[in-house]
Amino acid sequence: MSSNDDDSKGLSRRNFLGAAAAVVAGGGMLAGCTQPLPKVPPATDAQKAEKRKADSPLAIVRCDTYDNNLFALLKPLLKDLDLPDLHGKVVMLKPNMIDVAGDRPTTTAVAAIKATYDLVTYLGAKDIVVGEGPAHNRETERLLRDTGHGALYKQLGLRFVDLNLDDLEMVDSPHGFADIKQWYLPKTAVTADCVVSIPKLKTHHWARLTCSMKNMYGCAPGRRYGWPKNVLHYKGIDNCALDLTRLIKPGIQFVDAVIAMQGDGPINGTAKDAHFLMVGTDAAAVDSTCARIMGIDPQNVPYLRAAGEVIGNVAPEHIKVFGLDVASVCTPFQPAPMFDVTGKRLKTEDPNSSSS
Amino acid sequence: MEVNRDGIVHVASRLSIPHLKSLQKNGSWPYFAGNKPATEPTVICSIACRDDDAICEGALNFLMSIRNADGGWSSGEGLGESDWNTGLALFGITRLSTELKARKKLSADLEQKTSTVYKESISKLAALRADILPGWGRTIMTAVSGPDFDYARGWPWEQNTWHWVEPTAYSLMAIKSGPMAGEERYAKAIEQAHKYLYEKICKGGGWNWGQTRTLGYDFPAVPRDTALAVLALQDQKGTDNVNNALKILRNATSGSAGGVDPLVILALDAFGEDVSQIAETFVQDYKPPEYSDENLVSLGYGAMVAGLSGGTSNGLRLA
Repeated sequence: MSSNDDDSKGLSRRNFLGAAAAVVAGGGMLAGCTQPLPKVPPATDAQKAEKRKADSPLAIVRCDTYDNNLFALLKPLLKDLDLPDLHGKVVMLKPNMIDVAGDRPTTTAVAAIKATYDLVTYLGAKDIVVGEGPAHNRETERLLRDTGHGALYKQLGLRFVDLNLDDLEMVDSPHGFADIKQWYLPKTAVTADCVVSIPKLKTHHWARLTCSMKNMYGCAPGRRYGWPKNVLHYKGIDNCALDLTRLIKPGIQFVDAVIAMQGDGPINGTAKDAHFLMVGTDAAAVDSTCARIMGIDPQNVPYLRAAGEVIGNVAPEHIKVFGLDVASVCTPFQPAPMFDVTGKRLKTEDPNSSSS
Repeated sequence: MEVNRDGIVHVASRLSIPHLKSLQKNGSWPYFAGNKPATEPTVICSIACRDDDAICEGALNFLMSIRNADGGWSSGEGLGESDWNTGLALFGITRLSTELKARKKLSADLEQKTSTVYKESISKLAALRADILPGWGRTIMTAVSGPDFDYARGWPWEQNTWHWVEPTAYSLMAIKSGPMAGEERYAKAIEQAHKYLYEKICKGGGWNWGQTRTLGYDFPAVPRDTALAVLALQDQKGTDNVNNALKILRNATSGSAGGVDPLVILALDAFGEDVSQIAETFVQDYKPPEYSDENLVSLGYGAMVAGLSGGTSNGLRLA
C-alpha cells in the first residue's frame, strides 16, 4: 500500500492507522486486558514457614453507637486474647484516614481510635505515636482536622507522623508475593515494637473488602510510591496487602465496624450499621472473620486465602471467638460493584488504569 | 525573626526566607525539621531561597551528589531506583543555575557540571515516561507508523507503572525550563504529555491526581493538582483547558486565604493574575499546622507566596 492510498477496495494505510489508533486510544483498558491483574501465586514453603501455628483468639462485642465507652465494652474479654505486654514498648497506632468524602464513613471513627489508645495504655504502653499515610491527598493537616483525628491526638498529647513523608528504611522482602524485593517503608512503622491496625470495615471496589491487612497500605509512603500508591496495584493489590502485613506485622487489630461502609467502597460507598467491634492479634483471623460477617467467603478473597497459609488462621475451627458469636453479628453488606455478595468477581476492570 | 513577648516566633515569620534558610543543612532540606535530607523539599525550599548564592550552590551540589547512577533521582540518597523525583530535581537544577547565571554568580565549574548533569539526566527523564501499551500493541503501531510512533502519555510516580498528573507536571516543567525543550525528542514528549493531561481533565474542568472516572463515579478536580497541571502548561495560556482550570483555581481562593493551598496562588500568579491581595491575606492568616509537624514542602511553597507579597518573582514561573 502506498502511504497516500485511499483504496476503497481494501484497508488503506490511513484506515488501518485509524482503527489501530482507536484501539490504542483505549490503551488504558487494553493494557489492563493484556497485562492481567497480578494474581497471588501459590505460597512457597518459605512463606508458609512464617504462618502462626497456634489458634487465634479474637473478641467481638456489640456496639450500637460511638457514644458508648468502647474500651469498656471490650475490657472484660481482653484476658482471653493473648494480647502483648506493651510495657516499655514503642507503639504506633495506625488508623484509616484515607480521605474525607462528605459524611460517608470512610475513616476510622475517633471513638474507635480513642478506645485503641485506652487498650494499649491498659497493656502498659507509654510511648505511643500515631502514623498514617493517606493515599490520594497530600493535605494531611486538612484530613486531620476534617476527620476529627487531629483534635483527639492533641487532646491525648499524641504525636502524629505523616507516614507518606517520614524518613524511610529499606526492608528486604525475599519471600514476597509481589515483585518488590526491597520495600522502602516509614521508619516510624518499621521501628515500632508494636503496630496496632485500626481499620474501618468497608467493602472495596478492587479488593472486595478492606480491613486490617489492607489498612497496611497506609504504611507505604507516598514519597516513594506516589499519590495514589499505584505501584501497589500494579504489583497486585492482594500481593501487596499480604507483603505489607508480613513486613509490618501488626501485633493488634482493632476493627471499627460500628458504622461500616458497603457498596462502592472504600470512598464512595454508603453507611452500613454493622454495630460491632472486633479485637484480635492475628490479622488473618480478624479479616477473615469480618469477611464472613459481611457475607463474603474468605476463599473468594485472594489475599485472605493466601493469608490462611502464610500469616495466620482463616479456617473458623482455628479461630476462638470470645464475646458474641459470629452468627449473631452477621449482616450482609451490599457488595462492591464488581463482585457478588460472596466476593466472587463479576467483571474485570483494571485498577491499573487511572480512569475507566 | 520576630519574636513576640511570649517568646514564640511570629507565625507570619515562619514563611520568611531567613526562617527557611535556618532549616537548611549541607545544601539540603528534609521533609520535617530534624529528619534526613530529601529531594522534594530541597528543590522547593531552595527555589524559595534562590536569592542567596550560597543556598543555590549548596542545593545544586547536594542534588548532583545524590543523583543515581542511572542519571535519575529518588526521594533521597539511597532510596531505591529513580522515580518521580527526577523531574523535580532537574527543574530545581535548571531554576537555580539559571538564577545564578543571571546574577553572573555561576562559576564556570558549576556551570559545566550542571550542564552535563542536565544533558545526561534529561535523557533519563524521557526514558521514564509511562509506557502503557502492551508489547504487542507497541510492536504493531511501530511497524505501521514507523520508529517514531508515540502516543499520549505522561510520567509515573515509579518506573514502569501508570502515568499520573503530578509527576507529569514536574517532568514537563523540567523539560520546558531547560535548554533542550526544542529538540525533536523532547518536543514530542511535551506534545504527548500535553495530550495525556488533556485526557485527564475532570468533568467541569481542572485536574486531580489523574483519575477522572471509575466505576461510574466522576472524581472532582482538586485545587493542588489543578495548580500543578497549569504550572506545567504555562505555555498554553489562553486555551480553553487552561482557562477552565484557572476558573477552578480562582474559585479555590474565595473564602479564607489561610486555607488556600499556596500552589494555587503561585499558579494564578504564573498566568499574570493579580494575587497581591490573596497573597497578603495568605501570609497574614498563615498558621503552622496544629495537628502535625510542619512540612517543609508546604513551608517552601508558602515562602514563595510570601515572596510574591514582598515583590519577589514567582519561582515556578517558566521563562
